[in-house]
Amino acid sequence: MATFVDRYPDEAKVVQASFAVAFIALGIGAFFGLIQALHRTNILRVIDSVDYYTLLTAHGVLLALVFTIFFLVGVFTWAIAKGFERPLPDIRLTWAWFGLMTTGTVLTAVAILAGLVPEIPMSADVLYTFYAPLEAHPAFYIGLAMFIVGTWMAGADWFLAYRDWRGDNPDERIPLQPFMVLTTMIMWYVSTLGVAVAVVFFLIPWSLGLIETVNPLLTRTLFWYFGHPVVYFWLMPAYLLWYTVLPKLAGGRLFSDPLARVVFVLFVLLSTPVGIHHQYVDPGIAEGFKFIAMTNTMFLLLPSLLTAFTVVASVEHGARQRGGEGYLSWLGALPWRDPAFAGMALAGLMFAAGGFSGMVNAGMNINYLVHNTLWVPGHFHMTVGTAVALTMMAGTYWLLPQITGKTVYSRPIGLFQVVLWFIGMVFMSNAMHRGGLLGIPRRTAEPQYQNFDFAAAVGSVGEIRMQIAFGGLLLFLSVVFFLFNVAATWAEDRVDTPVDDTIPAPLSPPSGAPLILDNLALWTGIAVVLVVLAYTLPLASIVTDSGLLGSSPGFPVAISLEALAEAAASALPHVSLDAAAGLRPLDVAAEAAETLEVSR
Amino acid sequence: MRQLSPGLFLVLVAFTIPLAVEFRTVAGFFGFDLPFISMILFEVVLLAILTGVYVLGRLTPDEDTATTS
Amino acid sequence: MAAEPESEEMPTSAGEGAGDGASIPDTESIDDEGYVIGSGRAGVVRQIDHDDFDPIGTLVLIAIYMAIVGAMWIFMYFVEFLGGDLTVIG
Repeated sequence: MATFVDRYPDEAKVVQASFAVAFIALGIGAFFGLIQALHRTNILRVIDSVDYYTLLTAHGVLLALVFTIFFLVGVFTWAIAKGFERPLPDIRLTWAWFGLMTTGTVLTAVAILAGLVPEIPMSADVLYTFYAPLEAHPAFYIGLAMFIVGTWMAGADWFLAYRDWRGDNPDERIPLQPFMVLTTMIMWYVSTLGVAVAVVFFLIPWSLGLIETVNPLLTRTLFWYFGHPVVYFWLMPAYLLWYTVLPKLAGGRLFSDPLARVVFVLFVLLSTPVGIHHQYVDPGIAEGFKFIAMTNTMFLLLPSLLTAFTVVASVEHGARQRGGEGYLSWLGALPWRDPAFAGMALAGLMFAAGGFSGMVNAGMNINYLVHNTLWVPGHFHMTVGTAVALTMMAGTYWLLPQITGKTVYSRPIGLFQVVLWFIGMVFMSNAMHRGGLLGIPRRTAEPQYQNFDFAAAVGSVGEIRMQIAFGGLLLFLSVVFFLFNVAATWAEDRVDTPVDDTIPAPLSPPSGAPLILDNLALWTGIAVVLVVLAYTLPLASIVTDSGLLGSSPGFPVAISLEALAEAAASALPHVSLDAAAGLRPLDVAAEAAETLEVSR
Repeated sequence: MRQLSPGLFLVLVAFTIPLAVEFRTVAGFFGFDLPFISMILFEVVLLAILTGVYVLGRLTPDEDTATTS
Repeated sequence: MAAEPESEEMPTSAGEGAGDGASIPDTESIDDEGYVIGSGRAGVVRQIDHDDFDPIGTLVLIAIYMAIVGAMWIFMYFVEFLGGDLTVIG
C-alpha cells in the first residue's frame, strides 16, 4: 500500500524540509521559553535582564511565525497534492518559495540573536509585535518581508494546482482539504496586505534612515490588521486536521462536509475586520471603531461554535462505531492510546478553555481588567500554544510516516509527550491567567516592584510563580521528547505501510453543500468590502491626526539603555552613598550601570 | 468494573490536575481559604481513586470490554 | 442538512467493519504492543450511517461547556465588579 512519499516523492521532500525547519525553530524557541519562564519568576536567572527581551523576541518569532507557518506550508502542500490527487504544477516554484521563506527566516533570526552579542552592532529586540516606535535592524524587517513574500508564492503555487485540477474537472466540487487551503490563503492575502504596507513603506525605510519618523499608531494599526488574522492562519491547519484527520483517528467520519466549508468561508469573511480589538486602550482610535471591531469579533464565535459541534460530533461518531454507549461513557471508547488522537483531543479541550479567556479579551469593558497583563500570554499559550502547537505535534505522529515512509519510533513516548504538554500548559497557563487578574504585567523581565506587592485573593504570588516555572519546565521536556521521537523516526528504515493514511468520506457529503460555497471570487469580494468598511475611517482618522509619517523617532532598545546607563553613571558621583541608600530608583540605576559595564 | 487502557488512564491522570489546581480557587470563592498542601492532598486522593479504578478493572474485567481501548 | 441519501455515497476508502488498510494489524488487545498510530478505525465494531447517528453525547458536552461559561461569567461579575479594588492596567 503506497503512501504519500511513494506517490509524490518530490512533494514529500518539500514537506519534509518544511517540517525540519519548523521543528528546529520549535526546539530553539522552546528553549528560550524555558529560560524566560525561569527568569521572570526569579527561579533561575542565567541571562541579563536586558537580554530577556532578545530572547522574548526570538521566542515569539520562532514559535509563532516560523514553527507554525513552516508546519502550515508543509501540511498545505501535503493537502493540495493528496486532495487534488496530482503533483504540484512545477516543483521548482515549490522549492523557490521554500528557499525564499527559509532565507528570510535565517536573516530575521540572525538579526534577533545578534542582540545577544554586544560586538555585533545589530539588534531587533522589538518583540513579535514589531510595530513602531521600537526599531529593529533593517535585516529583521527585510527577512520578514522575504518570509511573507515566500508564503504568497506558496499560495500562488497552490492556486496554480487548483487551476490545473479545475481544467480537468470542470464540474466537480473542490475536495474538502484543498478547499480549506485555498480559503485560508485568500484570508492570508487579504490580511498580509496590512503588514506588507507597514514593513515595506514605513519600517524598512525608517530603519535604513531614509525617513526620519513614523506614525506609530499607523504602524500599530497596520500590524494588528494582520495580527489578528494571523492567529487564524495558525489555527486553520489545526482546523484542517481536526475536521479531516481527527474523525478518522477516532474511528469515525466527518459529520458534515458542508458545515466545514461554511466555517472556512466565515473565517475568510470575518478574520480581518476585527484587528482593532487588540487596540482597545490605544488613544487615537475612537471608541466607536473599537465597538465595531468588538461586534465583528463576537461574530467570530459563530464559526468556532460550529466547529465545536461538528468536530465533537464527528469524534462521537467514531466512539459509537467503536462500541461506545451512553451520554458520556462513549468518551472511554475513543482510541486514547493513539498519541495523534489523544494530542488533538486534548488540544481541542484546551481550546475550549482558551475560548473563554478569549471572550474576556474580546469584550471591550472586561478587556480593561486584563489588558497588557500576564492574562494575555496565558490566553495565547492556550490557543496558539496548545490548540495549534499540540495539534501540530500530534498530527506529526500521523503525517510524518506518510511523508517519510517510516513508522513512528515510539508510540508510548508520543503519548507521554502530548499528555505532558497538556499538564505543563495547565500549570503555566492557569497561573498566568490568575497572575494577570492580579495585575502582573506581561513582557517584563523582572515583574517585581519596590514597595508594592500584588495582592492575591486565593493562594499567593509565590505559588503562581512556581506554577509558571514548573509548567514551563514540563513544556520544555515535552518538546525534548517530541524532537527525540521525530529524529528517531527519521533515522529509521523505510517500510511498506508505515501508517493507515486513508481518510473516509464525510457522513454528509459535499453534494449537499450549496454550490455558492465554492465560489471563491464572491467570498474574496465580500471579505474585501468588509475590510474596507471596518478600516477606512479609522485609518483616515489616524493619518489625519498626525500624518502618514508622524513625528516619532526610533527607539532602538540597545542605544536607549546605554544612554540611560551613562546618565545614571554620570549622576552617581554627585550622590553620597548615605543618601542613595534611601533612594530606590538610584539603586536600580546603579545596578543597571554595573551590569551594563560587565556585559559590554 | 470497566477496564481502562493505559492510554486512557494517562489522559485521566492529566485531567485530575486542573481539577486539583482549581479546587482551592473554588473553595476560596465560597470563603474557605485552604492551604497550599490541600491542593496536593486533593490531587493524591484523585490519583488514588483513579489508580483504584484502574487496578480493579484489571483484576475483575467485564466480559464485554475486549473491544474498548 | 442531509439533502441526499448518504449510504450510496460510501467511499471505497471507508471500508467495511474492522478495516481499511488490510495490512494494519487489528489489535483488539488492551495491552497493545503492536498498535499503529492512526488505526483507530481498526477498532470499529459497527457502521453507523448519517440517519442512524444521533449525536446526543455532543449535546451533553456542549451543554456542560455552556454551563461552565455561564457560571464563570457570573463568577467574574462578583469577583471583578463587586469584590475587587481597581485592577492595575497599562
